Amino acid sequence: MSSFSLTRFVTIYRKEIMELLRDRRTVIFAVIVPILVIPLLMMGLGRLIQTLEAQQRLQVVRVLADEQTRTQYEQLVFEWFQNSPVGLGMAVAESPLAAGLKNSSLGEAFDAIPQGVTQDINVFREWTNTLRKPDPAQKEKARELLAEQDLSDIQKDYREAALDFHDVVIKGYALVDWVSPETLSVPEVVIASAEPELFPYDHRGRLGVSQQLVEAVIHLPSGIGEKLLEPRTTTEVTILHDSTISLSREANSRLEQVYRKVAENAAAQRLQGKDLPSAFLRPLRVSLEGNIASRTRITSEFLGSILPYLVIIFSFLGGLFPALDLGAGEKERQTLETLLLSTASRLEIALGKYFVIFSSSLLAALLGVTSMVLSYQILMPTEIRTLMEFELSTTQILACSLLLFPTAAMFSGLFLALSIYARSFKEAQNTIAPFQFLLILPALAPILPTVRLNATLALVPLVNVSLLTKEFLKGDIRWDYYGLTVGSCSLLAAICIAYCIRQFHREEVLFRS
Amino acid sequence: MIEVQNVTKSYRSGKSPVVALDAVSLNCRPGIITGILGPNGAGKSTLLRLISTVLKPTSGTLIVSGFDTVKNPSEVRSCIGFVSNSTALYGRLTPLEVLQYFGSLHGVPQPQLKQRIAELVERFTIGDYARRSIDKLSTGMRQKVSIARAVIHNPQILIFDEPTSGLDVLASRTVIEFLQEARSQGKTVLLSTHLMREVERLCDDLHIIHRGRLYFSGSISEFLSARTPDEEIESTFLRVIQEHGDTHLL
Repeated sequence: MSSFSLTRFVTIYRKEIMELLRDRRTVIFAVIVPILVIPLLMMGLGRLIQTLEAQQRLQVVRVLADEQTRTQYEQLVFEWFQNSPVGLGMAVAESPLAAGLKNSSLGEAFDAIPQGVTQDINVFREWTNTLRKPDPAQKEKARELLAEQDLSDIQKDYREAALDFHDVVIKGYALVDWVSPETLSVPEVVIASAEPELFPYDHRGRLGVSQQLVEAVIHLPSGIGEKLLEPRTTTEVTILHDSTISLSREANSRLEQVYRKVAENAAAQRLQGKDLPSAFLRPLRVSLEGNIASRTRITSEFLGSILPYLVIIFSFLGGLFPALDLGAGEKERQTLETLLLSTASRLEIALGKYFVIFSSSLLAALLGVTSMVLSYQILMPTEIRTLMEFELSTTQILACSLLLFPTAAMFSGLFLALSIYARSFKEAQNTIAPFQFLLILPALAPILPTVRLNATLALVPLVNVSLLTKEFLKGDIRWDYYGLTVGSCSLLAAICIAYCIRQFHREEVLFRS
Repeated sequence: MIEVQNVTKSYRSGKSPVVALDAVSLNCRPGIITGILGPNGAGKSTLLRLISTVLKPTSGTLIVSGFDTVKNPSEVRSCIGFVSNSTALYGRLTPLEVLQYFGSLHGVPQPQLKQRIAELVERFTIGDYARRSIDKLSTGMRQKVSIARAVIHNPQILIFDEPTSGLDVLASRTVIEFLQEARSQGKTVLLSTHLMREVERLCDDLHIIHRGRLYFSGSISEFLSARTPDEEIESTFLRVIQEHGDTHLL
C-alpha cells in the first residue's frame, strides 16, 4: 500500500474543512473578525477620533474675565484680524475692486462676507458669532464652490494664514463664552484666601476653574493696546487654567495662541514705528513646502507600518483556532485515535490537517486585506481619502498578497506541531499564547526608525514580511528581497511541516497524558 | 487470525521505565470470540493498541491476517475494525458523514460504500438519527454509530475494548448480538473487558492479563473447569491472580 494517497489526503482535508466550518470559534476568528470586526473597529475608531476632534474644535470654552479685559481682548483680536492676510483679503473683497468677481462662482462666496467686517468691530462680532455655528446648508454650498475651483495654489499660499485665522478668530474668539466674575456662583466663604491676588477676581477664578465652572481665567491690565506698542515694555499676562482638565488645557492653548499672534502683530507694528519691516524679527523662515514626499508616499509609509502587523495578526488568528482544534482538540475529544486506526498514513493525516490550517490562516489574512481595502474605499470618509491620495496598483496588491503564503505556511506548521504535542486544548492555548507576544516585535519592525530592509533582514522570517509589505506599499518592489523572503519563510515552513509529520509518528506525543 | 509473539512494550514515565506488557504471547482464531480479561491498568488496552498498529512493540512480533504490524501497518488496519472508549466520533458530523468519511479513508469504492452504509444504518437502526449531529446523540446511539464506523470496510478482524461500558441494557444487547453474529460469520473477534459475566456469556477463549503479564491462556471451559463448586467467576479470576503470587487484589 502506498505511503501517500492523494485521494485520502483530499478526503481528510475536505472533512476537516467541513468540521471546522461548523465550529463557531473558527468561523468567528477566521472569517468574521477579519471581514467585519477589525475594519469596523478601525473605521469606528477613525470616525470616533474624527468626531472627538471635531467636537474639540467646535467646543465652546468658558473664560472668566471682567468687562474691561473682555473689551480689550476683543479689540486685540479685531486688530489682529484687520492686519492678517485673511482680514486684508476680505477688505479687498469689500472694495469695488472685487466687483468683477461677483459674476464668478467664487464671487458667491464673497457674498457671505458682511459689509464692514474689517472696519466695524460690531459687525465683526456679529459675523464671528455666525461662524461659531455655521449653517449646514451654507457649509455645503461653500464645499461645492470650493470643489469647483482649482485652489491648490491659493491653498499653498494662504494655508498658513488660514490656519492662523482659524486659531485666533474662530477658536480663540468666536468659540469663547465669556463669564463675568460677578455672575460666577462660588461660595464667598471658600473664596477667602491668605494668598495675595494677581488680579481682583484671581481667587474666585481659581475656584471656578477647579470646580469646572469655567475653563480659564484671564485678566488684561487697562491700556494694554498702548502698552503693546511701547517699544521698551513687556506686559506679562496670566492664563489661569488647570492642565489636568482637558478642556481647560484646550482653553489655555487657544488663549495662548491668541496672545502669541497678537504679540507678533504688536512687534510688527513696533518695527513699523522704527521704519523696520516685519521681516526684521524673522530673519529665517522654514517653508512648509519643503517635504518632497508625495501624499501617496506619506500615506504608504504610515499604512506600511500598520498593515503588516494587522495582516500578520489575521494570519495568526486564522490559523490558531483550527490548529488548536485539529491537534490538541482531537486528542482531547479522543477522535485522533479513531483517525489513526483508519488506513490513512500519518503523513496523509499530518498534511491534511496542515493544509486545512494553512487554508484558514491564508483565508483570514486575504479576507483581512480585502476587507481593509474595501473598507477604505467604502467606509473611509471621502475627505480623508482625498487627503490621503492613496491608491494601490494591481501589482502592489498581488505582491503583498503573495507574501501572505509563506506567512500562513509558517504559522500553520508551528501551530500544528505545538498543538499536537499538547495534552489538551487548554495546554495548547497556553503554549501558543506567548507566541502572540513574540510576534509583536517582528511585526512592528517597520515602525522602528533605523530598521530598513536589506539582504540580511530579508532572511529573518516575519521581519522580512513586515518590511517588504511596507516597501511594496510605497511602490518599491524589490523582487530580489522578495525571493529571499519567500525562500527563508518557505524553508522555515518546510522545517515546521517536517517537525509536524515527525510528531505524528511519535507515540509519546500522540498518547501523551 | 492474530498472532502475538513474545511482545514487550515499555515506555518512560518521567525518568523511570514502565513495562506495560512483558513477553506476552497469544493467538486469536477466526470464528471464535477471544476474551482478554484483566483489571484496570493491566495492559489490555496497550495490547489492543499494539495489534491495531497505533503503538509499536518494544520487542516481539504481532501478525494480523498475515501482516506484520510494524512492517505493514496500513494493511493491518485495513483488515481490522476497532472500537474502544478512546475512539470517539466527530461531534460536529452526522452518523452518515462519519460513515462516508471512514469508508472513503478505507478506500471502499463509492457504489459499494453507499450500499454498505445503507446496510449498517439498517442493521444498527440508526436511520432515525443518521442526519443528526453526533454531539446530540445519546451514549447508546453513539456506540452503535461507532461500531458501524469500525466495520464500514467489512473487516475480518474485530477488536472491541470494553464495548458495553456505560451502555444501558438495550444498547449492550445490540453490541453483544453483533459480536455473536460476527463469530457466526467466521470473523476473528477480540474482546477486552473486565466484566466476568460478559466473558462467561460470550467468549470461547480467554487470556487473563495482569500487570503486563499473561496469567492465563486457554478456552473458557478450561477456565471454568478450574472453578470450585459454587464459586463465582469473579472469585475464580481472583484466585488465578493469587496463584501467580499477587495477593494485592484479595
